[in-house]
Amino acid sequence: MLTPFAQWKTLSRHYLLLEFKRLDRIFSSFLFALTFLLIFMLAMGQVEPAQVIQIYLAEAFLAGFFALQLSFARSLEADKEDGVFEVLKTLPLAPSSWFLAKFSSVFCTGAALFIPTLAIASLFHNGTQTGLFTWPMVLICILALLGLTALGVLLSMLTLGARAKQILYPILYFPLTIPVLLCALEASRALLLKTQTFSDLWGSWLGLLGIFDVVYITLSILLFAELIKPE
Amino acid sequence: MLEAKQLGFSYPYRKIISDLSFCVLPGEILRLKGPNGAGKSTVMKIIAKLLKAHTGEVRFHDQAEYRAQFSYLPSESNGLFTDLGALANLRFWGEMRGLRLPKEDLIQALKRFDLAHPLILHGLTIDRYSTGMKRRLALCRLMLAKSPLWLLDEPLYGLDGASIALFRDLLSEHLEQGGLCVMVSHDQEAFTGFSPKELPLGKESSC
Repeated sequence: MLTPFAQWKTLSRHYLLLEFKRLDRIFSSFLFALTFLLIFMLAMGQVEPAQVIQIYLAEAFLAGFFALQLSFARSLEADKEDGVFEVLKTLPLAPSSWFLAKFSSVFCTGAALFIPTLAIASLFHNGTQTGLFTWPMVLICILALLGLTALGVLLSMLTLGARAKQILYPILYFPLTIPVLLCALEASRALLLKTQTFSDLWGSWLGLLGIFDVVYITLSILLFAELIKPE
Repeated sequence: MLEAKQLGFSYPYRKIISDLSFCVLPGEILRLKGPNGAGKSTVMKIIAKLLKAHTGEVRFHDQAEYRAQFSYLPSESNGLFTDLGALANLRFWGEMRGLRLPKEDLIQALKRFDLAHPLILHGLTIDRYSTGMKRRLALCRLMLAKSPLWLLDEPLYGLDGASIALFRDLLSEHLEQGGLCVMVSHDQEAFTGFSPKELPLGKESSC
């Protein structure tokens, strides 16, 4: 029998391969984000230099967030097809290994979607402002993604068998992600407006974001174990 | 030995089984019998740990946790990743059981199930297989897993005559090696040449 670490490794590798095989799913979400950014840019027209940062954050996070939501909602499609989920449940799998494997692969997909969205959004404002998309911004983005992914995977699992999945998923997802989004946006704004340094942010919004990540990931691991127990 | 004692299970407003006991010894087949809705698949899912019995328990070699010891084949699905090919699927399910199967072994196994077509070996995805091909691949996985206990729910689903004969050969080898099998099948052909123990649902059976 495999150790929990070996189970995680095998499953992660496999789930990543599956994500790669379903590039159309990432691509359609990415196209959605791109369209969103274009519409935003065309609607806003020439932006006052003083408002560039706020506009950039609003459009980048909105586009990224909705694109991620689309992607997360479909994250268990491969498991649902042809009874794979049922057969996986009959294996002696550690629930935490299973959850973390799914989490890792969905996180990678999310990063491949969210980070380019932020980068492209910054390009739209390149003429008026430089330094919108920086390494600290990438880190904030990754921290936000950790919490969003944990919730995304958990809720996908929770609503897997639900008849009203299309309604239930966003109803649960949107309110639960507000703390993560609020922290990420406040941290990004403080960083770009230079009201706080990056190291200072660890004592405020970034620290809080990290705490939410830990809470959401831990809760997701615990609840995932409950969800896959025999009915 | 697979042993179930006083199993009980109900869905809301409907009792499915009560006080059901049975045992299966190495080399034996247990056939779950009964009309539609009698609870055959429910009993199978209880043995496969997908459902929890409300009363009683199932033990395999006197152990309550025996997930590593069985392979389960669901009734209308095969548990195959449809975006992947046959080799990737077999490799994955093998690895999840701690088996590192060389490509040559996998190809040999596929040959036995008439699935070694060049297109398949070059990664034709499962979503393009016929129903029978998917079932044969699921049986191929079952053979490679080498689990002592097989839980098969309608294993002949979508199989043609030659594949049914192959299935019987496979089952025969499994039993000769001391394996056990619990099976649900409305198709009598699945049991031709075997003398299964029969468990009519709703009636008590014991060792």
